[in-house]
Amino acid sequence: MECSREITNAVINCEKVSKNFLTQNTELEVIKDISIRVQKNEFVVILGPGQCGKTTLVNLIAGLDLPSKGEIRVNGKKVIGPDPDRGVVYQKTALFPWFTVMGNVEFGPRMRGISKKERKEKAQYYIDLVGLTDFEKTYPIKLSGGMRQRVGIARAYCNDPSVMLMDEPFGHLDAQTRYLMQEELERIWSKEKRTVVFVTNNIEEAIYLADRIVVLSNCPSIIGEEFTVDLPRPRSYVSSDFLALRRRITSVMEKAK
Amino acid sequence: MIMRTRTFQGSKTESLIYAILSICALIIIWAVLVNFTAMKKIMPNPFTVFNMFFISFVKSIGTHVLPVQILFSLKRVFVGYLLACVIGIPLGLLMGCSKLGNAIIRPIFELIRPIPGLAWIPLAILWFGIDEAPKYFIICISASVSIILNTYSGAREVDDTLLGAAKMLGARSFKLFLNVTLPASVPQIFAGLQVGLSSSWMAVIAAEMIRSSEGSGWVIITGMENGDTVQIIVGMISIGLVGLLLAQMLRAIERRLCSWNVQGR
Amino acid sequence: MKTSLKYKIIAIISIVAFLAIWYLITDGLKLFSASTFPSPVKVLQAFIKKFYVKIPDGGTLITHLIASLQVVLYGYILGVVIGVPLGILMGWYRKVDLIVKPLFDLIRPIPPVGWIPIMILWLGIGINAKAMVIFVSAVTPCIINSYTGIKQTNQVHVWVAQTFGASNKKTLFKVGLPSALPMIFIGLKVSLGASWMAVVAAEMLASTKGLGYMIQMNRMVGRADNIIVGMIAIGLVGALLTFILERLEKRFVRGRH
Repeated sequence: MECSREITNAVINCEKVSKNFLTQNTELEVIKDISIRVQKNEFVVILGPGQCGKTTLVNLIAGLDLPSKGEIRVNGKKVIGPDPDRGVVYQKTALFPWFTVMGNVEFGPRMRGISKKERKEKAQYYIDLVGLTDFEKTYPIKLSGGMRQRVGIARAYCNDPSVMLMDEPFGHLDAQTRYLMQEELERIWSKEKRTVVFVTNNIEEAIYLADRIVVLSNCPSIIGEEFTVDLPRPRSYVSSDFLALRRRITSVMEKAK
Repeated sequence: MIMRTRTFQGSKTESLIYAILSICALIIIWAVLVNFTAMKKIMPNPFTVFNMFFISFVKSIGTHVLPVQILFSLKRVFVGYLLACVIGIPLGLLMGCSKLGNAIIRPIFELIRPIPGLAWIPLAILWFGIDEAPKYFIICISASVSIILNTYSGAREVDDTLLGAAKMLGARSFKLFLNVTLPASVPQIFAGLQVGLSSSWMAVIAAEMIRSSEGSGWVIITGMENGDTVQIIVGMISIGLVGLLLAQMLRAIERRLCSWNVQGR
Repeated sequence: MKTSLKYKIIAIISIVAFLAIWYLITDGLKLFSASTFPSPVKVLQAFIKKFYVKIPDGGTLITHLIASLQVVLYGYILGVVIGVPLGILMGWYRKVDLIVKPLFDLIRPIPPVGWIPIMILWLGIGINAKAMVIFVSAVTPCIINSYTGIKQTNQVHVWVAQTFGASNKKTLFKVGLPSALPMIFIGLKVSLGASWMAVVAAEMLASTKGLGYMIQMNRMVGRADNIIVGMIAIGLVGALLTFILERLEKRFVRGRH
């Protein structure tokens, strides 16, 4: 059930977006007619089974790819390419191995020509925010998976995007680290609120982090159901409300298979 | 899944002991064969060789002592190799980054590439005479092929995700190249540099054997002309040692510059 | 696809321009004398003539070609027959590795061309000396690549074989060898290239026939057109040999790349 929202207030506005991929001789329709609106500072989680176009959708919003049909607007402007205004945190960290943590985090401001003093201060703030103080001069190769993702988050934040897109950023972490990172992200986001679109296939993760969950069906992806998560933050994985919602969503996803 | 490869469990001291034993065994067999069989007619005593090796540091072979002969060769390598880097790396980067550049340069490169560097020697001598210039030319050509090839593939194979991330963070064209494409290519460029260096060393030896009046290649070819096997072997040892040293030096430079690299070499 | 056609046309234009410039600076503007830098036309004429003219180097293109191929095949086959098994044994059996590797590492830094003088002194000017030099240049890449190929054997596969009761030797044949095959083929290719290069150098110093001898001889009589003919022949044959090997590789190493 989709609640009607003010289209004009929405930061992200996807209007009937479809995406086809050409493989060999056939055209594969990966996303079909998806319309999503995201409000300012809203944390929206896109939940769906693997390989169903979640990453494609994020790439489209980020501007790393163009839709075959439909239109995507962020802050009123049409998305035609990657832009600092839309920060991305990747699943496989795309940290620059030849830059230190500081070099990575300050990369965005440096590209925009911001003065050294200013950008170092800014980068330091975000490095501290994600809990990596004292690691400024370390190279990514020496960091653990969880730490690398933190740098990715700091790097995306440091560029002052109005929108943050996260494509299964904790997918490659072990279970323990994953729980830790979910809590970390919750803490970071609560301190520095941004509009977030977060992609995952993990129901717990979705409920823990989201203001609103959009469930995608199987290929070609269309909107399945939407769930508003009204629980107070930070949430408990084992509260009765949490578990009830989890049961509901699980059954929805089972039916979709 | 982690791929466990068939590495041997064993200590480094064990390898070292075996290595020493092996080499000693070789020298002993060499000495025995020379002293007690007909081999003494064609092979010198190992101790004569070692003796001569150290003597030639002070006693001239031809007109220069051994280290100076080596320096002649090194000088030529230095010039030719540097030339190859200065020409090859930008060319490879151009081919890798620009589709237009690739379309223009690559066909010509692929035409010239099958011709081994050493095959250019007669033409080079005809064109540049018998002095230093043909040697620089040969060395440069021999090194260029692998430098260009590896630089090209390094520039082409930059991870798209990294490029996308950089663009997302606001990097464009030249800044993108300088901050992402170039550093990402460096490990592969070094691979090309390593092969190029060993090609250069080979080329200078060949060029000196064919037409030269000094240098390591000259040492061994003159040894052959005089029937002096000791000189030849001393020359070969020095050539091998210097080749090894060059490779190690380059590897050390690479470790310094690529300390961030996941696939250490 | 329009763009790929556009680039193919540019490539062809590039080659044509290359030939045109070559022609211009030689026959057109006569910047060089014909004996130092002949035009492509003269080279083509010399190429055709060389198929049946014996002067000034004592053989036609074909006789030289066959002579070079003979030497290469002789040395190459010897190198492969000794090098590949040796590399495999070194990679599989620790004892062999410990004993042979130091000796190999000692000999290896000496470039193959460096062996020419001593081989000539020992074996005289003839096919044997040259073949030995080819042998040295072929055996090194064969050993190295076979060694690396065996070393890369997946330990898990080895364990599986062992649980099935396979002996060490059987495991080598059933697991190690097949998985090392791609690298062994790379070794075969590299060896062939190295052999072809080495024969050119060897023939320039110690031969009375062969392509290397041909280009050296023609320099002495100032016939640059024949030199270039020889160089082109060397390049073509080298490329052909690599091509043949790659065809064989595709046939034997299917389903891997």
